Amino acid sequence: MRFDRHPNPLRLARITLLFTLAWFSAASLVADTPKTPTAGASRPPVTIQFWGLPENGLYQGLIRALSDFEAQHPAVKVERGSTGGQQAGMDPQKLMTSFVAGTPPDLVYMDRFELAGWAARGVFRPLDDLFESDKIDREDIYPACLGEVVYDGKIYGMPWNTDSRVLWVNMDILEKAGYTTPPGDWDELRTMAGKLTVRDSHGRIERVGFAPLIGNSWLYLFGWLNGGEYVSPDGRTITMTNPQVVGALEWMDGTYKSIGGYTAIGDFAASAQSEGVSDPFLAGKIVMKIDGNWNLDYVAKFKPDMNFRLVPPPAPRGHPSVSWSGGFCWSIPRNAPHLKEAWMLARFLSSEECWLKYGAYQEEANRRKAAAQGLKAGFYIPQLSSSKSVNKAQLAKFGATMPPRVREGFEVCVDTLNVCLNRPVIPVGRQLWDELARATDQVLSTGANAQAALETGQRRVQAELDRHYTPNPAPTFSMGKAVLAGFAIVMAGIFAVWGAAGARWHWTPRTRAEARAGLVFASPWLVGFFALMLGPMLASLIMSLSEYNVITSARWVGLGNFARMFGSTTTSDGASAPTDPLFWKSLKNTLFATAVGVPLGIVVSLGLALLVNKEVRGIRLYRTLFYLPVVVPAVSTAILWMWLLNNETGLTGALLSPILKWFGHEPISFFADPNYAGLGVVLMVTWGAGGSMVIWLAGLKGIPSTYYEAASIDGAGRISQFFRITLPLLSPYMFFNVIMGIIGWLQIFTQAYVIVVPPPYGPDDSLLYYVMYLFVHGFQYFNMGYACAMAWVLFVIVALLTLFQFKIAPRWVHYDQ
Amino acid sequence: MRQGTLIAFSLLFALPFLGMMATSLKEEAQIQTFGGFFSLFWPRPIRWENYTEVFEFVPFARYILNTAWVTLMSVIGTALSCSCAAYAFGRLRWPGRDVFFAVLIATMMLPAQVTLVPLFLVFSGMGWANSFKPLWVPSFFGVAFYIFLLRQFFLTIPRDLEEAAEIDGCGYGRIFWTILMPLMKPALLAVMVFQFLATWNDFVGPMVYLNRPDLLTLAIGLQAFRSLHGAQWGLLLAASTIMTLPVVILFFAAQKYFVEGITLTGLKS
Repeated sequence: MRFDRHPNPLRLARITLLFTLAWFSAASLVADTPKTPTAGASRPPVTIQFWGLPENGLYQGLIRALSDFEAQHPAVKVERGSTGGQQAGMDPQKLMTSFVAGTPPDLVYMDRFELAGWAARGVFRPLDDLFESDKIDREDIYPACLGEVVYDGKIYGMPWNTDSRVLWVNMDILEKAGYTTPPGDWDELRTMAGKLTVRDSHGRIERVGFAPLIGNSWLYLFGWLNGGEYVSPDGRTITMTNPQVVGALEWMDGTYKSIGGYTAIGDFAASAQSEGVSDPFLAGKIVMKIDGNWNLDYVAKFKPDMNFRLVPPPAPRGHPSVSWSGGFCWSIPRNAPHLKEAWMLARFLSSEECWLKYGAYQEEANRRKAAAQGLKAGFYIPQLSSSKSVNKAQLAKFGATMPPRVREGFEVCVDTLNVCLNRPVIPVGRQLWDELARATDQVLSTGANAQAALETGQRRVQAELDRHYTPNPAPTFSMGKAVLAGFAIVMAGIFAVWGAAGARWHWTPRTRAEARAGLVFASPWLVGFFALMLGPMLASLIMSLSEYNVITSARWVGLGNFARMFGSTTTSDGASAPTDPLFWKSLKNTLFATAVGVPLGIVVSLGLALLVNKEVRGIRLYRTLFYLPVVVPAVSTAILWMWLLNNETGLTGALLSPILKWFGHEPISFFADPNYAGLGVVLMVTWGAGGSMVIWLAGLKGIPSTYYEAASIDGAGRISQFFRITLPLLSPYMFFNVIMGIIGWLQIFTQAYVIVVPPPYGPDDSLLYYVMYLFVHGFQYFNMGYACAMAWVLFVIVALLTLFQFKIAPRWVHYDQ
Repeated sequence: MRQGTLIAFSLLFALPFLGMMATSLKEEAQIQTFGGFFSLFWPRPIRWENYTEVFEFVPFARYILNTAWVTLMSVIGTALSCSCAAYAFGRLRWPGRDVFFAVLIATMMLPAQVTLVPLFLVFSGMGWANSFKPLWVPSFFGVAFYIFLLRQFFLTIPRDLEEAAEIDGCGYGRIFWTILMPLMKPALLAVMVFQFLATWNDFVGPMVYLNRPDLLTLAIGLQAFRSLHGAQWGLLLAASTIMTLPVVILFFAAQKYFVEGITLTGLKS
């Protein structure tokens, strides 16, 4: 056999090398050059990829209208690639991967607010020429809707839907309190907020008059109402700290203080949940709120006779009322293969014809549903369109069946669109949004100074903006080629060392047979490692040394990302502060969760395993019950935990609070209090201890019962048996659970990601975990290089901890060999 | 006493699931209005239509089939590849073993988020985007987590067994298949249950790799019940309940083998 004659027994390894190289080079070729469509070669029917449209009930009518489009254009087929996603529209990972792989969709349903970030990096095609040739009436589009798709003087999307925020007022409660009209300005609003807020005999808040952040308003709106702006007209300077914005934040803070404080209200609001879950406005628990037009649907559905009014948001005396709106648009990626057809579809979707069809289908479905439930008529509350004429047509067509007050409200929302503003269109819009929300949270929940909090945020956003406009002078390079070269070098190194190790091996017929078997049995993993893992890992390592957003060329910055992570900057008052305090915060949060979560998880899961390791009646049912929390999908788990860890409606309210009260302790509000939010996540994850329980059970089954019999004869008690037999024999599993617990906790992502609606990530960013922060940088801030640098820092931390575990393992882990 | 403890603790652990089942039978209006702790577990009135509407809303049956296929393949792949690799790492001596084991552990230390884009390029370069292959083929190359787990298992088994078999002239393949495989059953079953659940509930993989609506999986399908400003909780939780039932049943059934365990006593003597 050739194998026997050859001095180097690693033939398999060499085949692996060739195989992997071939595979990987094929892949990397695609990486650098996005496929360009072959023009003119389109044979009918053309299938266009249309991504991002939410597949939920709100859009069923629109999806149905797509077949009308196909009927009108027999040569075009529309294929939806919906992702659902974190909220609605596109998931950044999906858009990014498809774009760089050269297989983008033809048309994307894009959040306008995120558009500039992608457009600035060249993902989307400007549509000015198409707007021009089709003579699209720009006057018909609300200024805020059109304004949000224009970046650097070019149009990057066809605005579609929009929303507007107004003050919602429960007139019944207002009239009972002696008021006849809604508040006209900020002073009146604050006074009424205080008067209408009611507490019960224990001092607990029963009803809130008005709270700035209940509903959907954000600092953005209050700053604008106060005459503030967030970015200079040329888009190069962030002006978060201008006096009007600072004043607005102080007003919000003052208003909270006048109604009992942010934490108390937050606790109240957390129990009242957000819209759509249990709407406190419908329940009369909130008298006034600033919220969007989409809530009209809930009122019409659940309380059509409610005596309520909508008015434009009140401003400080002497300021005009303004509002803000967002919404989505249709955008076409630069390398989309079917431009003409995509544009045809975008035009169709934005047409009055399509809007009315969408509404008619939606209304028909509602009516059918109402009939099935034995109710009278169905109704349809349309989404707001970015087009003035479409909204007029929608009102004419669907207004008649709306409950009268809902219809009035709808008209107010439409009118308010004329005074709506849009968020600044800058390449770092996402960061600006995040930092404004973060500063708000800092001021309201930790009592920080408004000026200082906004200044911290401004510094961060400005730095990102500067980085975008003043590119790093470092040389650019081709990431694909760099990875390929790196891959070749590393592979050569690995095989040289491996070959040398093989040459040093003590070869006898026996060891040769064993080594051969070892390689054969390990080969699935070895091939997988070389073909699928090594390359991507290496790519992330090279990315960590560069400034790279995955879309445009990488710049070699060496250890620049690491310097930014660990460095410090001088603030305006001369003090020194970490350049990226959130990096440290996320690290701290993660280490805390790991330190508490790993031991707790091990104790609980081992406890469960010991509990169910005995054969008693119904034991299979018990085991299954313990395992249940693990199987519930993450999206559902999130809402259930919000309900369960809640002082008003939840388990903590029913069980924990009475116990705490007995000890004279205030009730703990998990998820509302920065001191306990992290603990809430640890508890939530520990509930999933049933997973590790299974591992322990497998281990327990492997312990021969003779050991226990022998120990019993020696007179050892149960406890001493546990420590003398069970624990030592389980030590290999303990070792596994410790290592995997550390790795798992340090990388916690999904469980926390589904329960926070960022930003901020929990009160005072207490739920900002390391990998979440890394994800935000990589996919939302376009800093993949920085994200990779963070990933490798985490890698080193985990590696050191694991190495330590392996080093001390021989002292306590007992292997039977 | 043990029964009492079991009942108390298992109820505590079943709470989220019970809450999900209860809410899945509620009318939207009840979910919307305030209720106390007990109202969470008490649908009034019971609305079975949530379950039928789930199927009208999205092609749920299609999603179940898709998810089942991906799950089946990846469970098979995991069981085969991980048990083999674990045998190599836990039982056999070959050059480079210890270094590669360290590498195996190291592959788990880098967050998957940063290898997502390069990995996508590898798969799309092979023309596998928009197919199920990126979701199950990798499982045939082994999953580090399970290889590590099964290796730990191998290390707890006395060597005498194989040594006896080797003396009898048994090859490594036979030793693996006839002696170790039966012993490994509980641990391998745990691995299969884990992998079943991981694939069944996976969101990111299908989201990134699949585009066509007829290829989507359950975890993605669930998103249809959410919207920008809220969700249809009754339907979402009904769909989630349907989604979790196969896993619960599988777990309940698989327990027979956990319990059966292994009888090393007879082999030792």
